[in-house]
Amino acid sequence: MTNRILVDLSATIKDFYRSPSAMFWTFAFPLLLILIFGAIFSGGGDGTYTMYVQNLDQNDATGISQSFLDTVNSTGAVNMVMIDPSTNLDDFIRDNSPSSVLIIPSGFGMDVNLSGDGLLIFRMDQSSQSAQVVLAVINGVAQHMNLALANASESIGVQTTNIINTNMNYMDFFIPGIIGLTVMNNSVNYITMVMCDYRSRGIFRKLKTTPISRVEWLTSQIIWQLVLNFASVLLITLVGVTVFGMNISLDFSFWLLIIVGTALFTALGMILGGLIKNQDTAGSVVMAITFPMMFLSGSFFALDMMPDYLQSIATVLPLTYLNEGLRDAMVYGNLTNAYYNLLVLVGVTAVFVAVASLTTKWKED
Amino acid sequence: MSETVIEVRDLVKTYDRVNVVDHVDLDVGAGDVFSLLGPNGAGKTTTVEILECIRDASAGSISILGLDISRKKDIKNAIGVMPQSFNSFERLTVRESILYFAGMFKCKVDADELIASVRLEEKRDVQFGKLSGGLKQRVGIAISLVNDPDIVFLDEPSTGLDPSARRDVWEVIRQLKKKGKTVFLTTHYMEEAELLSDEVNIMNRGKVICSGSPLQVVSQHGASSTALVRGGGEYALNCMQSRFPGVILEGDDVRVTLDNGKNLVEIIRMLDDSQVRYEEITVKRPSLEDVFIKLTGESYGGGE
Repeated sequence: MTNRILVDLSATIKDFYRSPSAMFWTFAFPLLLILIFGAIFSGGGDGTYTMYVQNLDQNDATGISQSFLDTVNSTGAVNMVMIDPSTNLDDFIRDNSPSSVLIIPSGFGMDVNLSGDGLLIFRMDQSSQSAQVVLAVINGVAQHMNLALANASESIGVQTTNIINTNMNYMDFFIPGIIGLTVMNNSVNYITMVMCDYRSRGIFRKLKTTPISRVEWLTSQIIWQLVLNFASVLLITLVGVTVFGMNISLDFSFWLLIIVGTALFTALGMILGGLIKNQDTAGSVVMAITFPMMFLSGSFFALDMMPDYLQSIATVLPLTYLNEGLRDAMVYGNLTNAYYNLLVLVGVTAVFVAVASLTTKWKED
Repeated sequence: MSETVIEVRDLVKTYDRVNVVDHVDLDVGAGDVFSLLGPNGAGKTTTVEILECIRDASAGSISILGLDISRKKDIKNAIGVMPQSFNSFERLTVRESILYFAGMFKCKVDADELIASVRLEEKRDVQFGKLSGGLKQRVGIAISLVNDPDIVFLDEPSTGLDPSARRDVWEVIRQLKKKGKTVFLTTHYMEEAELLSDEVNIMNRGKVICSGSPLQVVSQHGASSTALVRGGGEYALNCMQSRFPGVILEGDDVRVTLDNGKNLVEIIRMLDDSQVRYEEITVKRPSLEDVFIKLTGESYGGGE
């Protein structure tokens, strides 16, 4: 028995490392995702948001306009770009598509100084997140200056700290999502494709005429899936820790989640590979199932960023529980939740395995 | 007849209440090349796959090498199979493929010797996916021999091959027979069956409609031999029509059915007497293909 499993494993390994596309999807693709998202979200705080300013109050004797701009600049939250006062603003907006522009009207400083009713104009794209951030900065500075001009002091201050004790950044949130996603993609894709390929090549028919049993073959394939998933998970974690300085723990519940996730998605792949005879169709169906799950199960974004109806869809997607479980285990250190998610996954796996054992055949009857 | 190694009695396979295999009897002698012929959908692959333990029969009794078909484990160890349109692992080499399937049987195998037996020494370390169709089929045959089986099942081993690759496969099959293996062949090519087989069975609509050696089948079911007067044209037709009502004109050639060859002399004399000019006279004995077309009502020769 073990001998046949080893023979099948060694053939599968050879087939894998000789297939550049399998290597790419298993190892390179998740790393690419991490590096790209990491570059986008871990850019650091210096001038992430660009703030366009047209200062028309050039002859301001009070110095208020300039000091306002200096204060904004000193927050370090924005990267200020000045627009020449002689530029036609509408032309500028059409040519450069800024998401927001701050206009300091001519005589602003005098208005503030004399009558206390200076008005800044902020033109913004309401849908733009960066415009919202810039607006918040401007409001904050204006508030601060109002108090200073009124000779009052700030009674309430806010000190921001993180939600969990350790210093969590976006990558801490993101990497468990990528791990869940990789486990899903590896397992579903691999087993569906192998089954379609073996069927069209007559390899299943041939194996049926040899002493190997379906259980032996499946054992070999699941061992291989676990090895592959452990390898890509370790690689992803390694990059997360070394490149992005993630703070994570890989405890027992983490490995259980990987094992159960592998079993779950391998069983799902077996169901698809058993029901869909044509390889091209199978590829499309796998995409149609995994692709929405990638986005709706909180791999890339936190679930509570999504509208309610999408959140309720997420609650029936198995990848959601894998992602949440992995975050609980790796980042939040919340083992109760990790094991709760694990339990849900075990239940779904049991159902999938039962269905798969009904739909998977090597032979025609 | 030699000792029987496959005995099938009253085999039935039913799908959706239709008998795809309908009360079939087969007897295969030890060391013979046995061919199962039939048009698409005749039930031959279903029959073979039941013998190969890939499918289960609905009814009937099967004994292979004296073992009842229910003893699948023992039978699997004693037979070698190349399924229809079998392709081994794309990225495993010829040698690795052979060793993989040998590993399934847990048997020690001299892979190089097997490779030599199908004359693939030069392709030993080439990945399966990079081989041509004919070479792939030879790898498939080599793989079917890893457990040194007494009976080898080859399901359409030469379908889709060019004539020279097909001949190479035939040579491999002859070598199998020489080594004393029993070969169970299904094929699309009548020429192949006629050349290689000791025994042929023709199936149509689930039933075996004739069986025997190729010569027996042809003489039992074949039409008589025919003479073809090439280039005889209408002169030849007119001169023979009164004596041979069955004579037909095919282009510029004239075809006459011979009564066991006895009237060939008479034909030549008639043509001579009427001073009909022609290029040549050829006599063609009926082939298995003629019998096949006559019995199944289908043209089969060129494959699918």
